[in-house]
Amino acid sequence: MESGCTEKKHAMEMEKQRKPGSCDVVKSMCSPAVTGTKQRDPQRLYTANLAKRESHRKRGKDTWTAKSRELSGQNVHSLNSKSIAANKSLCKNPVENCYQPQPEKTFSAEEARQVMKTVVEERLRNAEYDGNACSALALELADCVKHAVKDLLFFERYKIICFVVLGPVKQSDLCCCSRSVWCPSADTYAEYCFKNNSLFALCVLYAVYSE
Amino acid sequence: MMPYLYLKVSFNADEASNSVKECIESILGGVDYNQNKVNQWTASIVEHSLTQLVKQGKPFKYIVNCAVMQKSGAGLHTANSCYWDTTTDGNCTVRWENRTMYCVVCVFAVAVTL
Repeated sequence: MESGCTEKKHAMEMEKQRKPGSCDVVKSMCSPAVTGTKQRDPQRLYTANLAKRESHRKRGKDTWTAKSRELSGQNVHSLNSKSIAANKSLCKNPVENCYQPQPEKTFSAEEARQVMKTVVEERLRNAEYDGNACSALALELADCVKHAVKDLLFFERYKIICFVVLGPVKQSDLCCCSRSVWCPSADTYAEYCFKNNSLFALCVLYAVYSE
Repeated sequence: MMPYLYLKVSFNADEASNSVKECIESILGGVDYNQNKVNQWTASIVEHSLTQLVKQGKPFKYIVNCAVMQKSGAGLHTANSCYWDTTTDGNCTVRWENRTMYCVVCVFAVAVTL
């Protein structure tokens, strides 16, 4: 009995030291003369062990992946497939942007001029120049013209600037000049100059498209 | 240069005011009112001011208005009313005078948000 145990221990030690490629060495180690047991095909043993190791490795990976999915609460495969499908659909049917760099309806300077003329003449028809009151009058006129153009002529996405110069009719010169950097196809201006015996009023309205 | 495409920039009135003052001073500084030259002066003031504003490289559309009046004891009143985005757009008014004339320059800046 003791000799059988010793031989088995020796065989186990030999198996541990066995190198996978060296079949001849394994064969010699596992010869019936050394082990005293039935002759085992070392190549089959090695292949079987290798297969076991591979299956353990794969199973462990699958188990880990499944666990990670459960923990994260996401189905990674389904997310990837959804995003891929979304990208594909985008490439086939690109979504147009919703910018409007040009207005659908361009601001009409002529219509604005008509409105300005009506408002200014109605307001200043019988007005007389007064140094103290005319500053408030100029501000009121600018507000009135701006509101009239904004509310009566509704042009979408247009910003409106109303500028008024008011002064007495005397022997003095006034020169007014204006320049702008804007988009000439969308932006424009309208002006109207009013004069009576007492005062003059220059009203300029700029319409700038909001890009 | 900073990419202003994704930033909302508000109008800096002080910077614009300083640029415009320098333009007025360079054109009207030390001269008396001359009826023959006043057209040329106002056009120069406005064009120089616009050039300086555009050089700042900010995403704005600019409108510059200049009124030059001879000093004769008469008053002059200017007013403006604007319908725009108050967070990004703005204006500044520069008043300048010498012995013979008044000059009022108004700058309106409308933001380009694209």
